[in-house]
Amino acid sequence: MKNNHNNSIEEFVTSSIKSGKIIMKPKWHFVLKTILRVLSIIILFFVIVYLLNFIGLVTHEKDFNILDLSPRGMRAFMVAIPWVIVLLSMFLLMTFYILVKQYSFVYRKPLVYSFFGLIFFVLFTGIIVHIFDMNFRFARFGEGPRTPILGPMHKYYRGEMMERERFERFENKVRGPEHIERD
Amino acid sequence: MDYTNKTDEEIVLLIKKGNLELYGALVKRYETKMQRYAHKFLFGRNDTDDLVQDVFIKAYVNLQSFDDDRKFSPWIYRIAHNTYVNALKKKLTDKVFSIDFDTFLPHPKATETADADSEKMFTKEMLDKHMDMIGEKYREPLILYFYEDMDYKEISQILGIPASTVGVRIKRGKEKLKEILEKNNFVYEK
Repeated sequence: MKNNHNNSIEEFVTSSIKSGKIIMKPKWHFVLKTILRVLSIIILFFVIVYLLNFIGLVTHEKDFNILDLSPRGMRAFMVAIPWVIVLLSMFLLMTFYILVKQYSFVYRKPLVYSFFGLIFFVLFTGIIVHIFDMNFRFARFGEGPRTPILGPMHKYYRGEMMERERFERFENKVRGPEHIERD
Repeated sequence: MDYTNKTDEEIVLLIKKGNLELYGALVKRYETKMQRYAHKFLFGRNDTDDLVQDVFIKAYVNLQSFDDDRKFSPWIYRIAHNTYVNALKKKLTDKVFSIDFDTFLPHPKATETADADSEKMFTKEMLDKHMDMIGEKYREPLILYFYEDMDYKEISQILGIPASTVGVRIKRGKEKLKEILEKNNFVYEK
């Protein structure tokens, strides 16, 4: 907004307020913005945890030996990891960080603490999911073939539904009857 | 209404309740400070008055977002910082992708030492003469510390960086100044 009349800044601003040229945004605007921001942070957090769980599940189902450093082993490793999902997770983690860094509890500390604290928290949640054998139950959300985005993602990386169920039944057999999942 | 005895925060509360004409009082209180900040930080530019005006307009438009439990001064300085930095960073990539490694790693806890008045005066005098030779990263905390009399905590809130990083930048800024003076055969006396 240009002050073309050689008025002082105070005069220009107060006259603009009086004439209605500049209007104060209402409080609800900021309350809504905060709610949306917080919701975005929460949703993004669960999306990242879901994707990390998915990466873990895919690598688990691909059955490769991480300690095999031979060319064949390395090739199996490179093929097993869903690199697109890994890159997507990293991108979402950066976005998550950008959303939270405006809060003082994040920017007051050196970024390395906040950033790695964030990664640790996300990984910790993923580990909890794994420890309590919720991998398959977690993956259940969205793995139907007709589910947009997630369905094709599961199909592409984990094969058809029947193959996945066969693997799951095998896993449950190996781990014991208490882990048998029933639909 | 007599507002001279009222604090900034009290005035803001009154404005929020509908006494819009009181905003002029806040502009009057901060106009010189914002102009000084702009001139020191953005020297050489001829649109600093427009930018200062933008600061006050943005502050008014977003006044309902001000947290009444906090101090008003760091809040408006934060708006000024964002406005002036955006004016410097014309490219969008600069705005989005600038990574500041200074704030990334931890530093030893910054101890704010009370500089002797004479040293502060001397440093200000030297900064006046050589401000254009100091990069914006160090220039800004130096301006806020030496000219706006802010402490590390307030500067940390304004710049959105850890207080330890504020201390490091002020220290490095002073070292840069010392280098410049020594290059010009001037003895920097502590």
